[in-house]
This record gives sequence, C-alpha cells and structure tokens, in this order.
Amino acid sequence: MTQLYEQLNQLVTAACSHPPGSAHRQKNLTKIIRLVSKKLWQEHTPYYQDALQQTWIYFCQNICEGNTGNPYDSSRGSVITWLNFYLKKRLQDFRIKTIDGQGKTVSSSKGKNGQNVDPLNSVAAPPDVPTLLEDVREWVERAGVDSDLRTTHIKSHPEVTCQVLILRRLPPETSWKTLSEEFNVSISTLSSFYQRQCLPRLRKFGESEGYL
Amino acid sequence: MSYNTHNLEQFALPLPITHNARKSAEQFARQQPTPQKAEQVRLNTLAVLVVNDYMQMLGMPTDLKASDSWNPIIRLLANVADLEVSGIGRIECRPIKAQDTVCHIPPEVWSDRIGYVVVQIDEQSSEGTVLGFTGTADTEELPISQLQPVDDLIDQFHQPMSQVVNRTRVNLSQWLDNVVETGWQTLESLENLLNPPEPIFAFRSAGLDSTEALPLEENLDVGIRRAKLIDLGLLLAGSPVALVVELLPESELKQNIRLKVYPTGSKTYLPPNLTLTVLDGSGTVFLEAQARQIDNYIQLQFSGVPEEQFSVEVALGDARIIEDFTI
Repeated sequence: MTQLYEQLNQLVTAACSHPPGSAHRQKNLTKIIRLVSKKLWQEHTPYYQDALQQTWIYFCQNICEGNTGNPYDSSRGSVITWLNFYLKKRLQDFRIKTIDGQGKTVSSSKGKNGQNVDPLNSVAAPPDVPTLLEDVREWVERAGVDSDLRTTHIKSHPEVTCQVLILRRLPPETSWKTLSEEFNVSISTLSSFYQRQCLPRLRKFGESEGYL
Repeated sequence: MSYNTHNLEQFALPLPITHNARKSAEQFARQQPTPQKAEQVRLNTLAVLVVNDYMQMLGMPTDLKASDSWNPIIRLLANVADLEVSGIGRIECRPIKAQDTVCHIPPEVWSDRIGYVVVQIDEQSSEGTVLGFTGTADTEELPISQLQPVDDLIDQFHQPMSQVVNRTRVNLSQWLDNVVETGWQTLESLENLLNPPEPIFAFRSAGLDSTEALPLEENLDVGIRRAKLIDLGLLLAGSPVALVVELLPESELKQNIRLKVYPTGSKTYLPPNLTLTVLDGSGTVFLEAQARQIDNYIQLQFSGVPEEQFSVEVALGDARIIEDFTI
C-alpha cells in the first residue's frame, strides 16, 4: 500500500508540474485514475456510476489548482482517502434525493372494480414508431430520373448509384460483403463512396426535414 | 507501440457509464426499426458517451451535436460511433463486449477519423473500459491485442504539427515514361476522394500565374498528371489534402509544371491559410500561394529545364510536408 501511495504522490507531482490541458497533465491524470479506480469505495446502487463520474471531474479540477473546491493537500491524506470522502458525500446526496423522491412516486392503486391499476399504463407511449426509416425510404425511392441520388454513381459502375446504395443499406441492411460481391466493387470503394457521396446527401435531407 | 495481452489489462482505463448515458442509449435504440440495429445503436451510444465523459474529465471540449452518432438519420443508415473533439477532429468510439477479443470496425467509418478508441461495455456493472486506440482502420476486424494505450491518443491530440517525410526525390521526366514513384496516383483513382470532383475535368485559370490553362484533352496528349494525398495530421481533422502535379512538356528544353492542392472528403474548401510553396534547388522560396477563407483549391504554375531541381512545400500552421522533385 505504501508503495502505491508513493507512486500516486509521484504521479500527482508530475501531473501538477505541467499546465492544465497539456499532454503531460492529461496522461498523468489518466494514470492516476487507472491506479485509483479499483481502490475507491464500491457499492451497488443505481446512482453509483453518476457519483463516481462527478468524483473524477472533481479530481481533475482540484488535484492541482482547486478550481471547484479546495485543492488536494497530500499532507492531509492520500488521493484515495480524499476521493473516497468526496465520493461518499455524493453517494449520500443521491441517497437523500432518492428517499425524498419516493414520497412523490405514484404507486399502483385499486381501480373501480378493485383490480390493480398500473399507473404506467395510463402514461401515453412516446412516438417511437420508426417513421424516420419510411421518410428516408420514400425520399430516396421518389427521386426523379435526373435527381443526383440517381445520377451520382461509382465510376464505371452506373448501376451503383446513391439511390441504390442507400436503399440497400436501410435496416435491415445488406452487408457490405454481399454488396461487394453483387456489384463486383471492393468494400472500401463502396463504403468510401457511401461515406463521401451518400451520407452528405442524407445529412442535407435530415436538415431540410427538421430532424436535427 | 502496441501491447501484448499482458499489458492490455495494465493500460485498460475503467470509466463510469452514467444514468444519462444509459438513458440516451435507450432513447436512440428505441428509434431503430430492427432489434439488431437497436442493439448496435445502444452500444455505440454508450461507447461515445463514455469517451465523451472522459474528454470532459481531461478538459477536452467535444461537440456531440456535430457528430454523426448524434444525427438520427446517419445513425439509422450507418454504423457510426463518432465523437467530434472540438478543433481536433472526430474519434470513433467502438464498443465491444466483455468476452470479445476482436473489435468490429465497419467500413463506413474507415475514413474521416483521427483515431479509433475501443471501449469494452460491461452493462452489468455499468462500466465502460477504454482498452486502447488505433490511428487508422482498413479492415473490419481489429484484434484488441493490436491496440495502443490510450495515452498515445492524448499524445496525438497534442502532437507538434511538424513532420518532414518522404525526402526521396521524384523524377518527373520518368513520369512521361510511366515510371511513377509510390504514393503518386492517377486522379481517376482518387476521384471519390476529391472534393469537389469537378475540378479534375474543368481547369480554371487561377493563382499566381496568368498562363492560360490547357483543356484536359490537350494535356493528356503531351503531359502527365499525378496526385498524392498529403496528411498534415490533426489540423486537417482526418481529411488529407491532395497535391496534384502536372507536367506539360513545351519543348525538349522547356517543361511547364502546374501544382494544385485540393481538399478531400467532406471538405469543400481548403483550410484557410494553407500554403503551397515552391522552393528552388537552393531552398529559396520561388513561388507561393495561400488558401483564403473559401478556396476550393490553390495552384501555382512555372516552367523549368530538364534536370532542374525544386521542392514543394504544403504547410498549415506548424505542420509541413516537403516533396522534392527533379524535372
């Protein structure tokens, strides 16, 4: 353990001898996180990872400069002790929030005829139906003869147009390997054409339709 | 530097998967039409957000909204897990599961990335472990034993943009006999990369020289044209520029040379302030052109005699690449 503390102290000194945002600072912070992560307080609560993420942010902000709190003081304890203290406070905050929230949670109640009514059943389902797919399909299928979706094609392969490729890549998509064999065009040529010619047109369509 | 299995664990970086990350992942997954696609989107989103949280810790600003993984249409039509790191470029964050030893890198993300980070997603413990990164991808299966530690990715963010490579001298006269050095390709083979694709066939007269541009057909009878992709590193955010060299013999003793630089990929314009410089045999600047705010390409034109030597420099900020030529 002493060896670990010494190693951590050296890494902290190394990190703080370089300016914030520098590669040396970032690499040393990463090394500390790697060393410390398995030594921190662990528990199985739904909010543990959120408290941990806040702890890492706090660590990076205050290990050298004290941007959001008091800077770390190695004379008062190891980095692990310092971070565990902060982590447990955050966990406690989450715990209190959860308990407070419970009073406001709707629980199942008895309906008129005495059957259990799940309150979730009366919440409207979000509009999850994938209409996006149909919108894209319709836009691509309806492209006119002179539309660039139909005139843009892979060189020497007039049959492999943006229109054809987009329709084949709509989920459930045909694999690149199958397309490569079918059109006798290499996977890298197909995917590069898709990335450079098809995706920009889809982005534009998305913008014009207000999806972004 | 890549690691063996022993090192893999040593360099692994375990990071939290937050409640918000899980919520976004579920939300994006629900928009997908098939269970397979939903699973893919869910894992991709988790990987992107683990890396995004890590970038936040390091103080590296990111722009999720500018990333394809955040675009509902691109997300639907491509297997993307990219994260835009502001001012640097896009990193692809590929998810793998606990037992996987190979990471799938879909062909549609093989270009326009500054690197590929592999994140092992453990949903049980809600933890994402950054296993490492690789700078380029050209196969669908990446064995995780070939990954570099994530520390090298940090180096790449800060790389001093200065590299001088390929100091072998290119012999232009030999091009006319079809003896062409490696890396110099026909424009046709780069066509899908060049942006906009039109300039290959429509030469406009621009730049320093007022010599009238020759139409393509005439060029082909007498001259030769080859292009090379020039990667200036992170300043170009993963999109190299193309340096095009045209040799147009006028007589036994006089060769016309035209140099052009084009953007590639999704970029329509050259990065502002990108410079193209011709140096004479003694290394003195002879001609120079600089891209303005919205230049599709820049070009320089001059003539020389056989055996004459010159160098071409393409530079942006501190990054520069020099190519040496003999006429």
